[in-house]
Amino acid sequence: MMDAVLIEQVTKQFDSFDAVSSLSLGIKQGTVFGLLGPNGAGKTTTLRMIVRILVPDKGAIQVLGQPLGDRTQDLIGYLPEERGLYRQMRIREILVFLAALKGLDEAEAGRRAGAWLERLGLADRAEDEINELSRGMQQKVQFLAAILHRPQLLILDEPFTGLDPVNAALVKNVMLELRDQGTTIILSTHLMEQVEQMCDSICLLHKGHKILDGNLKAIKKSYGNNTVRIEFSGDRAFLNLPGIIEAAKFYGEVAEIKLLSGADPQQILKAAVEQKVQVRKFELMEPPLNDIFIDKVSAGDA
Amino acid sequence: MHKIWLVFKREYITRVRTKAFIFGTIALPLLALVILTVSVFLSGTSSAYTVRLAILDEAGGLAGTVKKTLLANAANKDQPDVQVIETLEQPSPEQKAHLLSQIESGDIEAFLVLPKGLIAGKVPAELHARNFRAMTLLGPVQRAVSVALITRRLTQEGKQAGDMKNVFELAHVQLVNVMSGKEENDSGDDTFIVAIAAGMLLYMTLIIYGMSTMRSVMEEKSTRIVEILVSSIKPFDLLTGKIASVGAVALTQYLIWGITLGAIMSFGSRFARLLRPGAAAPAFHIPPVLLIYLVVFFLAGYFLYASLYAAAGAIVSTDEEARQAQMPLTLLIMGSFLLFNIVLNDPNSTLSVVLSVTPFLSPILMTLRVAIVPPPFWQIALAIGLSIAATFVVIRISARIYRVGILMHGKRPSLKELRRWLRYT
Repeated sequence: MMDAVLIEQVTKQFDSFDAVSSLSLGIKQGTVFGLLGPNGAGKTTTLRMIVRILVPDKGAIQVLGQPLGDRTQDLIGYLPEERGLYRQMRIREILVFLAALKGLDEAEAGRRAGAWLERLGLADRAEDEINELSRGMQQKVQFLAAILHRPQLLILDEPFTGLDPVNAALVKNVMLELRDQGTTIILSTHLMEQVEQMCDSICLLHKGHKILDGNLKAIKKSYGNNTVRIEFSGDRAFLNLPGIIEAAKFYGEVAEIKLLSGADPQQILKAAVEQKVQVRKFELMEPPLNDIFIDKVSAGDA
Repeated sequence: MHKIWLVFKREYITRVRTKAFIFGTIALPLLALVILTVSVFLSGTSSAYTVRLAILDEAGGLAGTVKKTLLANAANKDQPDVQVIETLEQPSPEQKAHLLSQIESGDIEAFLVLPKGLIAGKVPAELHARNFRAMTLLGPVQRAVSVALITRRLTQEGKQAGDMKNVFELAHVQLVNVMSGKEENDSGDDTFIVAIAAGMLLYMTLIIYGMSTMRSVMEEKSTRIVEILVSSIKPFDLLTGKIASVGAVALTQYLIWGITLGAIMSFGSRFARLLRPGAAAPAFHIPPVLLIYLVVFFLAGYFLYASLYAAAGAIVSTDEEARQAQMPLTLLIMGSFLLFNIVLNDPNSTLSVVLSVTPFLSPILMTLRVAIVPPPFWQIALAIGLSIAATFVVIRISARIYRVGILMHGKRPSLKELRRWLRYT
């Protein structure tokens, strides 16, 4: 299958510092792709190059099999991290304007805007000006502006900031629905939980370099089942097991334990039984993405 | 092209429905209407105004001729009507004091004193007047007193004034205004006022709409919607649509002003009679060709300045920085206004010609020349051509600064950084 986005050996410099250096990436069509990395890693620069706001100094980018140009522009929906809307325009007006800029007929844009506003619970605000809306509402309008023209490639930079859990779930459902209809989604976020729930593959950037990429499940598997999650009541001293445990994090009566490589997780259960600690739940699992992230990034810093 | 149109349309619609636009558009015709009404009520017209005059003839034997000459010339439209209330030969000091109090109370407007030494030419006659209107009588009075004096002196020489009637036939000098090679009977004041007004209008609208473009760029930058926009449309197209749109808004305003002012002028006298029967509206003669050049030079100047203002708007992030960045541009426009006098004094000197074809200065200065003494067409064409050429250069530079600037936040770039922006791809 054709890649939705193909980035080949792309470098972007700003005043002699490399924001992105020889990055190569392929993003499969119809998947959710997570673009991750600490602040200043080059995520926004990469996204800006895909939407043709910035031009790479070296390398080439293709979107849906075509080199970047006026035609690819209309196939992309973009929700930037730094975003806003004209304050004195009405919601429906601004949605129609932004969709028309992507080549959609204005009458059709008006119809779709009505339907989507209905779905996101903003139908009665359609004729209100943007400056009368709460931040969360503006956020939803911005999200709609990115999807109204039914882009084949949807780029979302931190789409959940400012949304309450109910609205975040609403947006998430729409995203998954679009993916099921064949839309490719690039998701850039610091919320690792969302990435784990939604992304098929990821790429981790650090200081402009790719330090990890691939299928999310495969990445986690490569780290092996080296984590134990245990729910218990009693003294946590039983976890004092040098030679088996590398680190442990406690959340009340839950512990997330990272095992040393080659250690037998059964030793933990054994210790619990010996020290008469009640175990309610015992789970052997892959490491959370959060840990992989921190692990990789601090290794990159070293 | 379609996307430029969309940007144009959005900007235009959201702009013409703002309170600022609506207010500005109705304010000027309203002001004209107010001025018309006030002028009708305050001054009336020259023909409706009568100066009541008393003549104190201390020299003796002069008052009769003065009165006769004054009344004979009363048909002349340049002078107010005169009514000679009384003539006193050899007045007493009490009579003089009485006249002064009459002026105070407004029973008469002026009195003329013909002192004893007048015939010998030792002292001047005195016209005591209460207001400006009565002072316009100075010319006619001077003429009448001269006639009386000459008559008296001739009589003393033993000649009969009646025999030499044509000696007193004074020459009339009429002001003739030379416009585009043809001669028109017109008072020169009109042309002057129209020229100044056209210059002022250009000056104000260039600044207002230039800053309007700047604010529009700043709004898109500060709300960050610009990042969404430039992911859909090229920055150059966005800039083009925006500048064209603000220009169209300005033209709309010009059109509405033109139509309403035209209506006020053509219905002005009817309106004036409605307010006060017998009154006439002050009339200005504005040559249509000037209106056309006004629009042409507004556009020439606007595109040049607006692209600079847009670049300035893209550089800055805060209102404070915006005030600093717009300063040099406003000064540039003000500069043309300061050179106004040079052109006004000698519109056809080499300096005036050079200044009035220089881009940035040409909009205001060439319009001024067109209003006073129309320059040869090649000079006008040269001014327009140079302005368009300059616009092409400036808009290219501005677009590069704009493209980088709209995505930059934080501190204002130095000139060195700006030069680097020009090289970014």
